Amino acid sequence: MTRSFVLVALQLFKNRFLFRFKRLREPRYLLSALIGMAYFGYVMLRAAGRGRHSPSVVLRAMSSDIAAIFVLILMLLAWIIPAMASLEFSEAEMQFLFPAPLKRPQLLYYKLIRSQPSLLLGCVIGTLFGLPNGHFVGLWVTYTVLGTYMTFVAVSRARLSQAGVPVWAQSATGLGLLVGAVAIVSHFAHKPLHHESPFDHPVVQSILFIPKIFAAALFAREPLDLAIRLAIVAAAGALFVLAAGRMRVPFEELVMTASQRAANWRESRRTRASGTSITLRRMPAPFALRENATAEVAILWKNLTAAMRIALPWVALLVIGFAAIVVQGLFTRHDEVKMTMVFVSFAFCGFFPLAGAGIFKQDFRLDVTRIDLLKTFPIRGERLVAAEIAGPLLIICALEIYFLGGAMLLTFRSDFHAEVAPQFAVIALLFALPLCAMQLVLRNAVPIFLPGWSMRSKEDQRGFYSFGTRILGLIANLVALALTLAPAVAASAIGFLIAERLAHGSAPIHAAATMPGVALLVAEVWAAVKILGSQYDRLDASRDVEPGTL
Amino acid sequence: MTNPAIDVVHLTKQYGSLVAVNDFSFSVRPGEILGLVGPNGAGKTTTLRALGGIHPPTSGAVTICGFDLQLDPVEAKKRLAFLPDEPRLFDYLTVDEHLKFVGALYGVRDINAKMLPLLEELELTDKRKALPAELSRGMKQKLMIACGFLHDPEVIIFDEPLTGLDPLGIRRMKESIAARAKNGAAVILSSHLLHLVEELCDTVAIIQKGMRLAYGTIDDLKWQIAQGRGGVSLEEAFLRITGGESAPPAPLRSVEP
Repeated sequence: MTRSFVLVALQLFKNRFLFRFKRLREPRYLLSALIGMAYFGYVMLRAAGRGRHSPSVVLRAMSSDIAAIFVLILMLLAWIIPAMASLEFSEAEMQFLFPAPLKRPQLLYYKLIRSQPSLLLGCVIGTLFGLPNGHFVGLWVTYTVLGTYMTFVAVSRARLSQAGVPVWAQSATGLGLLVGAVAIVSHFAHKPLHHESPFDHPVVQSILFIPKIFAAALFAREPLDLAIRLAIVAAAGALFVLAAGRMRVPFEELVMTASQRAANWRESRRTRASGTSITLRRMPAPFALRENATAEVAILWKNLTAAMRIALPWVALLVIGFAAIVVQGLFTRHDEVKMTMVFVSFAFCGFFPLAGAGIFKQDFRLDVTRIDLLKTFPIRGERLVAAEIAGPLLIICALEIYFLGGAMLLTFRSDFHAEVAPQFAVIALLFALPLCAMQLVLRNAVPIFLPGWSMRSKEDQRGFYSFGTRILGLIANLVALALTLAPAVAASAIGFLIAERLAHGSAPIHAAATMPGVALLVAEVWAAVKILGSQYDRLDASRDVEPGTL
Repeated sequence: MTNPAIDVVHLTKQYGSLVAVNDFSFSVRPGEILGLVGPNGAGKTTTLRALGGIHPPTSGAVTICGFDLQLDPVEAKKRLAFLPDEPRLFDYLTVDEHLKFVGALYGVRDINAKMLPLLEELELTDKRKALPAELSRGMKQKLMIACGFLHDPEVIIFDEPLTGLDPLGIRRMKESIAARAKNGAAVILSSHLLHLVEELCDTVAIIQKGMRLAYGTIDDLKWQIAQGRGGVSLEEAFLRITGGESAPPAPLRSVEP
């Protein structure tokens, strides 16, 4: 049986590796993976460079104690947060292994073996770059045994629940123990007996006794010492497996619940990250959709309704957060604080047109997974694209004008370059809308031109590819924005200089001088929407999108 | 004779070197129900998606009520309802809001008068304020159908219409398809359930590996397969035509219905 389990684990690991390797034939995966690896390598080399400096004697002595505290927190958190001590099996594993003639310890054994290849890889990376003075074998065995501990806790919790101990009571006990342990350790950490480590007080050492058994295996230097410590940790692991295997609980049911919970959690994390998670289910639509509304208005209504249910907390956070900055700036008596608040408010104004499109995604990006549904709508591509973008554009522009208003108010109430403020206000207000629109157009261009890039399968959310895609997206966005803004900025700069020379800072003249630049940007947005619309009409989701992501 | 509501001429859809649909032609008249059948991977869904305007064909033409789907997609799509086997709904819109949104998209007048009987017919009345996450798969399918029926389409395309429905839902769905055809809608449905095709459809097109193997009225196909040796079911005819039984595929002459 062990041989079969090992073979399955190795095969799964090999297949996943081959799958990721083979897809590098597609340029998007190759490019993203290369960028992801380059970034990862840079971070790791920096960490390794830091690690080369020999740690001080105190730090070396503390390493084991800090690791023990970490282990202690982890062990107690497993009792507090049920999701941490998970008995997760994949759907395929449940389907094939549960009806098979296997005993529960064998299932646990399989789980242990299955996790080994990826655990080993993680330990290699951790030892090479992350853990100063750490030992690879120690790290590997410790992680493995902590995994068996988590399984033991999951089964024990189920057994306690069966015995009538409510889940909240189990969590509360764990929380109590954690708070108590942290309080005692913090208290005595201020009173070290020697100067080697702040944790060498006997009380602290007695609390850390069991976690230190694990931590000691991480830092053992001599082979004999390492062997003894590993044997102790491995024996603990065997005990955990044995105990988990013996406890009378509905194991299969437990696993299915835990696996479902874990899958839900991952899905909710994915939707939160992609900006599609609904937070306010009962929030009403922003306005009533009238019967004679056009298709464009219907799409705007749909996206604003989505924004109300998905992104309203963001709006509230931004409005309240910015109001706090303005109020602080208005009512403070300290000039430095006032200046800081003026600076922060302008930073908000400058940064928001760029970041807003990333926060409010209730446009084509939200619907890209339903592209086949969108394609059945009786509406031309350019109208659909314009209508899709209109929703977030309204929100971002409203917020940007609010920020600009607040920043102006602060500026007028301070002596901070008061003479420039009216001109700046005029230029900023004129540019705000087309700038936000251009950023939204660029963000929406990705799913329309490269729908495969914006629709990630489960496998795409991990590894170098995921890393690289984000970095690549950010770089491409900034470059494209710079290129599209350059003509408008150049035209406006010329207009600004002429207005300064001729009208000496008159706001209406500045407004007029800014207009060519603004008009240029509006024309670019219009042309971009036309191009996106025409591309949308030609879009063949079956060719551009991987099967399974739609 | 009335003009066809759906006219497909030499439709071909290629993915790289793979030809998913090859030179497929057929037409459906108002009030007619065409069954599209074929083994897994035959090209049924690709054909239907091309008819729904989702996938542009590589070559050939699709005309819906006289409007070319490529040249005049808006007018063609206004007359069309595409109902996929897997319901795709907007997670953030309620049942009511879905219908209002679709109503506005297709320019439906007097939306409430149309919406309420549909909700009643599809047993969704008490779920009007629910989001898709609060609906079962069957209910999502029903909502998708309600959205499709709302604008009284002249052409309805069903991809596996009975997937996910309970027995009562299946019966109502069958009645609904028949009623809409009786009212003049041209219907195409793809299904593996040959008894459903036999029960509902006037004509049938059998495809395999993207090629049309047979096309005609169900009675004609069965008669050709039987070759004077008594009656055969559509299932027997299908198996003979696609070579699903030991016998090689029967050479058939397509009969234009």
